Amino acid sequence: MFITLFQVDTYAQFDEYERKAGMINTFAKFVNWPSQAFKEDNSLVLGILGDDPFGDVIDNMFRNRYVKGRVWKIKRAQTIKELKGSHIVFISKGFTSSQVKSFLEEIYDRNNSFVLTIGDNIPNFCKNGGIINLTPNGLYTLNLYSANTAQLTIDVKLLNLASDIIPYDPD
Amino acid sequence: MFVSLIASSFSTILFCAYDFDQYKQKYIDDTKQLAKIIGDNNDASVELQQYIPAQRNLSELLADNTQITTGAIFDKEQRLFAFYSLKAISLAKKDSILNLKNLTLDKDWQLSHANTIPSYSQNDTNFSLIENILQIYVSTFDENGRINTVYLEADLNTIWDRLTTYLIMFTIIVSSVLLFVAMLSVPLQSSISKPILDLEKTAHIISKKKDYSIRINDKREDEIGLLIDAFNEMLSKIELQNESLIHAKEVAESSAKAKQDFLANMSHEIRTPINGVMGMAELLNDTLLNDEQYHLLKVLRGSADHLLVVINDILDISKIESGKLEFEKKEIQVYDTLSSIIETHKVETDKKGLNTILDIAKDVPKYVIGDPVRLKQILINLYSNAVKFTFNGSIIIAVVKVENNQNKLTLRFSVKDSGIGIEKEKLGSIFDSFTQASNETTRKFGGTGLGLSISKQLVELQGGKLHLESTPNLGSTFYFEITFDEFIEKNLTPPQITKAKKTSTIKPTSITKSILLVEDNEVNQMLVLRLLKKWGYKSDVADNGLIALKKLKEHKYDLILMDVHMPEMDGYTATKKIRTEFEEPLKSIPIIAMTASALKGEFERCKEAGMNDYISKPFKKDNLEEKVRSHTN
Repeated sequence: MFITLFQVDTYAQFDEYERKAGMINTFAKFVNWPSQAFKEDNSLVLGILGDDPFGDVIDNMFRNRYVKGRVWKIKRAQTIKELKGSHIVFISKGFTSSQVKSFLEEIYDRNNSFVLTIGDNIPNFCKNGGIINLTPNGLYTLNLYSANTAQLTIDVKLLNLASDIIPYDPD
Repeated sequence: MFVSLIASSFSTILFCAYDFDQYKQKYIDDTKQLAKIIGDNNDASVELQQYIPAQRNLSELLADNTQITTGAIFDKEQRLFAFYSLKAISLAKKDSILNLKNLTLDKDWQLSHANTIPSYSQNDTNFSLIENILQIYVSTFDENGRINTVYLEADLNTIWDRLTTYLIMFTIIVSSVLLFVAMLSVPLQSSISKPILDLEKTAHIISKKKDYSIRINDKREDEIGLLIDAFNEMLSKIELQNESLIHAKEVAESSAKAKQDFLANMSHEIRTPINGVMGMAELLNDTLLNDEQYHLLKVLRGSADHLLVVINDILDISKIESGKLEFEKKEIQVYDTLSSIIETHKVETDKKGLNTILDIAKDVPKYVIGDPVRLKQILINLYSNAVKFTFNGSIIIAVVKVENNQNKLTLRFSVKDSGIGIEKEKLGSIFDSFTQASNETTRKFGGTGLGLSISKQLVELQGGKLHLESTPNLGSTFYFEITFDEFIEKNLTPPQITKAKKTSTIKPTSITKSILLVEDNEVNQMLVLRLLKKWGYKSDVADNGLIALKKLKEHKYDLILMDVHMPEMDGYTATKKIRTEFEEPLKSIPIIAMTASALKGEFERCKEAGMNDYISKPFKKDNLEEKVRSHTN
């Protein structure tokens, strides 16, 4: 039996991106995609846009992991086009806010995009129409409006845990 | 009362045990359910490593639940992720409300003020009533494995409360049941127990008094009423049965009595004429006879003797059957008894050319104490049978000692012959009354067929058993064992020289004694009168008691010979009258009863009536002479 000591904070410190990978997995668990989002095969596709901060950490972590019975598939690209068919698009740091804006517009341009967009601590990400933005200390903000538009249903638990929720169309 | 106590206690305990088990299970299940809810609620927060929401959620869910003393959430890495302690919260409540919120969310502060800090376990339940603690671990899983584990620790105060309630309930139920039963049993006692007790009492009285006419008067319409009815019915059945039994008994007794009387009277009636025949034959024997007459007379005497044997047999059977046979305790000379039996049959055995061997073992004493007459009777029966059915060869009478202890002595007598024997299928019935080996036997060999039956019963009445072994055409052996008292020297009565022998030398007495014979039978009158005259007495005769009383007033007599059964007035009545109504010296005149009834009790009756002595018919003349002389001198 593992005895927990008083210093509860002495977690085995995970790497930042290990933790973020775990968060992505958790979001995937607590978000419901409509059934028509899965046409081709029974996998949940994660697209990483831009410079990949995860390295092989996420591949190792997501290997043999299931989300509601689906296996993870990870794509990496620099353009949205290349990430076609992704259910989750992780937008990494290093883009300008206008770039991010145009990415989001491109993603949600079509009616049936069903894409959960996650920003890696991108300023105004949610305000610009992104659904989840990862903020420091393992927190995140959530744009419920965008989620509804993308026809995704968010589990109330995610709402409870979000440090900030944008429930409206900011425009 | 006791039964209802047991029953109510048992059922209450059973109920409480069942209820307790149910309650305990429910308590555990509820706690698990709560843990599951906490686990489900915090899957996301644990995964996203947000311990504040988890801490908040945990506190919110447990705050209202005063039974839960400690709550904890462990994450995937088995780390204590969130913690709640009732004790710490209670401490915090003493501070400000504002502080409470902060402290509620402050895991470390709570940990530092908690009683215990739980260690991780994936799944476990520990229920301990003694330690007043319930500890459970419930883990939540998803498809990729365990997400978190919730630990809850609860006190068992509610369970203890429940147990207390049980105790109170138990006390109330049992005491109220007892009270109820007590209240019920008082009126029921009178309506149920009392009649049953009465019934029991009555039954007891009836069995004590043997009075079956008693009935229970209690008209009821319930089962007890039925019981009483059945009881009464049973009583009337018993009463009826009793009456019929008593009636049957009376009938049986009176018929037995009638049989007894008949036998007594008949034997008397038969003995009287035989007495005459034998007496006359004897007198005739004293006269001059030619050869032919002498021979005829001998036949006549033989027939009379035989007739007497038959009468005696019948009488013996009736005595045995009526249980009136008693055995004497006198000394028996073993050798003399046996040799006299052989001697009396000598004429017959010599004629048949049979050889009789008497074989008495060395250790058989000369004397034993028992009933010589009955022993002799048994042996005569067996021996005369042996003589009767043996035509060549020999008869062996043997006596051996079987056992000897504590002044008791068991002898085995056997009579072995080389006669015709008895077939196997006849062995069983040979001892029955009036049965012989076949009906032809009587015609061929004569006899009443009562001998063996009498012998068997005489042996059995003395505690022995008569056995028979027989092979047809080779011979039979009858043997029996009788236990005698041991003869001790002082028992020996010195041999008496009988008065009869003394008086047989006839000296005519100087004064001739006068004797009154009271007898209704002419033949007997004639016989006795002749004998008295022969012995030198003056004699007179009266035909019955009445005449006798009249004669007594007119003449003087020295002795009365009194027959007991007579018309007009019998001997008993006459004697009683003499003893009560006459003056001295007549009042105490010696009276000798002459009775033909050999039944038990006859002599006692004579004595009771006031007679001095008695002689039973048919009598030997020597015997009569001796008695007459002894009472006239």
